[in-house]
Amino acid sequence: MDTVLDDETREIYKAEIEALIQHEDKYITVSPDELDAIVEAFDFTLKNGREKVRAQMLYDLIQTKKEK
Amino acid sequence: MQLERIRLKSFGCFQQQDFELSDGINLIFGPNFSGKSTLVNAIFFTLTGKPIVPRVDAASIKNAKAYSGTAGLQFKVSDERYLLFRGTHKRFQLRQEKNDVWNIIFDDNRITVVEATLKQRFGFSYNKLALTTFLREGEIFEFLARQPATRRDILYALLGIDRLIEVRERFIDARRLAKRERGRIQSHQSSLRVTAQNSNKIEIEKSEAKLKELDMAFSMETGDAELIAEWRNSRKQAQEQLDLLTQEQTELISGFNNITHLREMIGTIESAIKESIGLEVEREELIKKVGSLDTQVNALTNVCNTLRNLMENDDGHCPTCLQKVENEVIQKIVDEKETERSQLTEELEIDKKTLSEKSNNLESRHQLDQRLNTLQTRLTRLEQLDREIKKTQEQLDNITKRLNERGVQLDVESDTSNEIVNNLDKTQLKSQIDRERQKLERLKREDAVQKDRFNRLQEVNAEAEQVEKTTLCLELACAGVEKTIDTLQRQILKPVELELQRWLSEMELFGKSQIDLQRQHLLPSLNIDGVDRSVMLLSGSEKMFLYLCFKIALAKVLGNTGFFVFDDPTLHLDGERKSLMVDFIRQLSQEYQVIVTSYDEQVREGLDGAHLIEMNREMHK
Repeated sequence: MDTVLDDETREIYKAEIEALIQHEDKYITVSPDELDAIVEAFDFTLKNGREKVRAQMLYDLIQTKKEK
Repeated sequence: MQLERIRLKSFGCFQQQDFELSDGINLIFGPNFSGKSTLVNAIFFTLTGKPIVPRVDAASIKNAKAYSGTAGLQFKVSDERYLLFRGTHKRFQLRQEKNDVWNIIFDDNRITVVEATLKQRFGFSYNKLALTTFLREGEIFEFLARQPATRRDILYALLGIDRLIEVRERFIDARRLAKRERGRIQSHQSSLRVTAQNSNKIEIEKSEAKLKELDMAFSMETGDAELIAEWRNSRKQAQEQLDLLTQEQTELISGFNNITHLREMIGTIESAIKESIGLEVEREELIKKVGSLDTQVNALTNVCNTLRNLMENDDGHCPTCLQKVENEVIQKIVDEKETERSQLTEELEIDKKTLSEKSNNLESRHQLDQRLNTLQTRLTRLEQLDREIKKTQEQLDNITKRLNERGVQLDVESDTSNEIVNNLDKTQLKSQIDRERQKLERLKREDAVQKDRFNRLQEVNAEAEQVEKTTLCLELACAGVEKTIDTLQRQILKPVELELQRWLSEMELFGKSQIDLQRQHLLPSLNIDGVDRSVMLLSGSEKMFLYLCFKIALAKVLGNTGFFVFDDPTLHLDGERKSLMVDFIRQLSQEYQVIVTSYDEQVREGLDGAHLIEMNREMHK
């Protein structure tokens, strides 16, 4: 996938996340900042690949963004 | 892209050979062992670096007598001509023609770098070429026999969403990490909850009070202790007495705002009673007057009756004086007496009514008298209670003051004083004080630890909340990736399904059919004329045509290289189906370059006019 496709995929992902928040009660507490953090983590992993991204990095990315 | 030439050196059965290709249909025709499949293999190997037959080592496709073999492919992309060489010993070279000179633009032997270059420059990838461009012998049966998970992996790689699978795996790892962290924090929380839930505050207060009293007892004389015990007792009794009095006061004052309100009410009643003084005398006089009036009325009634009798008898003589009296005179007297009687009767009625009113008023006054007596009794008792309460309160205050002066703590219920009175041995008291002091110190130490744990618990609770939220976010992230994969698959495969249906419809193979490629991960799910049909139950030729159409549809949607290579597509087909295949190839060649191998004369005749590459075993020398 090239950059354009990455961007498209990110947009699809964001839309899917928003739909999940809207339709599933258990995600109703997820704030816009947290949503941004999730999409950012997704984008980061998509661009850098499995080899460069560790689980702890994603965990920290979401946790840190949330604390802000 | 159009393939122009295949160049072989020590490759397969060939020493050194070039094969020209043209646009449209290229038929590689020859008997078995003439090298037809080697040419197909050479094209595939040059583009992907792997033999077309899976699980075969690249080195094994070189000429048996050579150290290494090389396959080359000349092709044209957008008016630019390229030449690819790939050796079985991994050497790779890409040349580009400029002004009739072939310039080397890339030369490397690192597989990943070469693959990345080819993918970036020309869009070549192993999965894409294998599934959309080439048809090798037996491929269809191998595809049908693949495990769903393998097909799914191929699909993901083909659609370019294999990277999303990597993202999903990473998110799952992160979620696992978050859950582990949550478990750790929860267990920490539980342990802190158990230890931090009890506070020693009350125990400490009690101990401090006891210690104070013990200290006091230690410092005073025996008589003091007795006196204090007595005061304590008196204070307790006074307090109880005060409570009883207050309770009675509350009960008596019920119905009134306060004692002033009660007094105002009594005043009002007294005024009302005063206003009714003389009511009895008036009533007595009125009774007498009514009696007298009644007598007078009766007398007048008798007189009138007598006079009327006199007139009726027409005697005309007065019964008293016996003198003759005129009837007119008698009538006049009767009228006068009647008038007088009527006036008296009217007066009598008025007096009777007044008498009735006076009697009612008198009854009300008796009731008021009773109410006044009750309220006055209550007022008297309340005033008495007020005095008693004040007195008791003074007593209580005095005792409290005296006890305070002695430093006795009054707000803690304790029997210590009695104990002290009964236990006046200074040595024993000293040891009791020491024990109590030690106990207090221990309690305070424990309390400090508890406070520290409580604070820690607060911190851990906040941390747990954070981790809980992070876990939820990561769950959402995983679910989002799943959904994205589904959406992308749907978006890409839907046009493939439509294209496949179009091709099948043009071939008039399955009537009115509907195809789903997503349900079984690329394996077509067929619905023909409203009935589901398993691909496995189709005939061999049906499978072949379906698979070819599927390849073409996939190639069209994903972006084809511009050519197709089919290795003996008419194998096992009867004459009728061979003709259908020839038609199919001709139709395909209108849009794409097609390279077909065959040994069948019917195919050769059917593809008459195609670029023919005749193969024979003599060429191998």
